[in-house]
Amino acid sequence: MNDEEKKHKRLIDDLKNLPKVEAPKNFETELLRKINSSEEVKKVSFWEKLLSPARLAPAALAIVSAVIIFFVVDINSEVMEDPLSIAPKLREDLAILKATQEIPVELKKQSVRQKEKVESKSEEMLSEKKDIAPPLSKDKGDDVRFESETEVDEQLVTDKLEVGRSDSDIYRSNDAKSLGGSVAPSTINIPSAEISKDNLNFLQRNLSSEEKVEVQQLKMKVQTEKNAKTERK
Amino acid sequence: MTDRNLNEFSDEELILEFQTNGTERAFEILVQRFKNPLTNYVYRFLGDYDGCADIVQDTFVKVYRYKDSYSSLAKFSTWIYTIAGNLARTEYQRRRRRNFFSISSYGDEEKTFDIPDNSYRPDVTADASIKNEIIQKALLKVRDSYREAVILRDIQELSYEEIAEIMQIEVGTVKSRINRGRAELQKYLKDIYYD
Repeated sequence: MNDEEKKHKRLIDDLKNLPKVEAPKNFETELLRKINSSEEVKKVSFWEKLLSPARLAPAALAIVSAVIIFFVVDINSEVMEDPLSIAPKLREDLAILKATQEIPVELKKQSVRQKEKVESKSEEMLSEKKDIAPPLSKDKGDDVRFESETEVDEQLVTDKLEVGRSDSDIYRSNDAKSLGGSVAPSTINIPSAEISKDNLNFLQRNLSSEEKVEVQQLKMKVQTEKNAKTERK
Repeated sequence: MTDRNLNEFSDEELILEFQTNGTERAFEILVQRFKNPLTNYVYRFLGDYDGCADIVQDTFVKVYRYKDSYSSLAKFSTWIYTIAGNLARTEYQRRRRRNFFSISSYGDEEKTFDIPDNSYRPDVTADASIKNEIIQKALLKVRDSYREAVILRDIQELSYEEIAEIMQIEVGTVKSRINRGRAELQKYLKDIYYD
């Protein structure tokens, strides 16, 4: 017995001498009844408990409501549709104008090549005529050449217009599609007089010094021929 | 297997017999052996006879249903005392919650109130039965963790090691709790142990 036990000796003795409480008389009978009643309770497995409609229905309801809240409310979403950042609907006429300006580079190149071809041909013809034609008929030949050049230029312009038109038609139809069909297709009513040479965006070619001299000579010739004509008249 | 043979079995042998062969008689013998000590232990802890009988019956129902969870490494007595102790503690806490607004729960939860009662005067405590009643009432005032240790040691007369196993704490903690419980009890019974 240690010091603590000696100190509380009387208390410990009293606690030991407390009357022993006994179980009631019908303890076994009651116990048997409890055991039998507990056995009667059907043993339900964990998964059966979990998947029972009583538990499943509220869980499903909670999930559905959570999904609805997530997709409908979406409070934390920072990606909000800014009305200022939405591209406005294009006007029909502007869309067509834009389409006409965007002529593919390949087509431009083709037209330039054609022009060059025509120029070289006219030059050849001019040189041939120089050799063959007499000085008097030279004026006439030059006229023919000049006329043919202007004809060629006009032809190029009309070709270009047609090319542009067909392209613009394509783009217009594409734009109409991209605008969700809200823009009704329409024909282009641009008069040919409105289209100048500058607007057609021809290739600006830098001439070499020899070519410049040649062009200058041709211009001089044309000028002298014109002067001669006016004098004759 | 005859009754005489089973009565000679130790607690561990009986529960093993009940586990392996399902011998109901072995369980009945265990009930006979432990019903009174458990009733005494739970009554001293709860202070209510009807409640303690229910708890002891529930303890045996648990032993019957979960007999397979008993491991032969432990003593049967400590196992059944642990079950009874857990059930008693749960019931005690449930009752305390129910009496939340009673006089004992005002102010500091740990603080208990000494209600003056003239019947506890030394000249009246001569009668042994009254003395026992006073001790029981004082016991109920002691903090439940100390009370459990004191009951198991001084009333049930279990060893420190058994108490440590039942309460699932260290032996040193058991000793400390017993000493503190005794001191607290002595304080409440100062009218009896005035000298």
